[in-house]
Amino acid sequence: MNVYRNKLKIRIAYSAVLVAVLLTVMFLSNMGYIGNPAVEKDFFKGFINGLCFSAVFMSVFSIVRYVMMLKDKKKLKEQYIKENDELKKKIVSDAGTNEYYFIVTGLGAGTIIGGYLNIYVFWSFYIALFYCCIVREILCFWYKRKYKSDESDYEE
Amino acid sequence: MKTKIRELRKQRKLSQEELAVAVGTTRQTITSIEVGKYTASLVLAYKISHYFGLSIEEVFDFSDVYNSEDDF
Repeated sequence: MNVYRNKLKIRIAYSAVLVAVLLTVMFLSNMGYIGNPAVEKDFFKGFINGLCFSAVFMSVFSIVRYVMMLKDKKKLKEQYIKENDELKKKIVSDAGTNEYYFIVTGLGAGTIIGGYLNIYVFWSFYIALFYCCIVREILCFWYKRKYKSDESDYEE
Repeated sequence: MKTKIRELRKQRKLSQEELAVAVGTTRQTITSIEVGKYTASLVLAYKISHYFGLSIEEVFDFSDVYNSEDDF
């Protein structure tokens, strides 16, 4: 359980750093130190503020939850079981695989249809599609390196 | 995959929750394994069998595995 305890401590530290960075960005953005005031529209500014605020709220909520768990051994074990439950992992993994195919199909169709409508729509879909494929390839490469055995390990 | 978990659990008057806590998983996972909707991993199968003091083959029915091999 100590490994998981340390994991939670690391998560708390990362969340605290994230909160600090987001609050700084929000402060500097609202004071006009960063961003281009000529370009920044109210909607865009509101969107960034909303996004940062929700991220800060979620991070603070996580920090409080993790700190409470670290103090209560029973809750810590419950959370460990919940997080490491293999059925849950299987559901998330299967959903993720299907999600990828649905997203790529949708973006592919969007790229083709967008090409007939508007060049900006076409490029938006195309870049999103390209990004999804690149991320997939990088992750595949990463997990291949992690799980596939080396040829030098081969024994006759 | 068929299992004898429900039988063994009832013999020992254990709830799904108690077994789940003992083997470090959730009640939902135990339920899914019992009704055959989910096949436990090797580690979890070992933990469950070990908990009942039996071998994996005594708790889990592997006849389906042999049948599915014939499909090839």
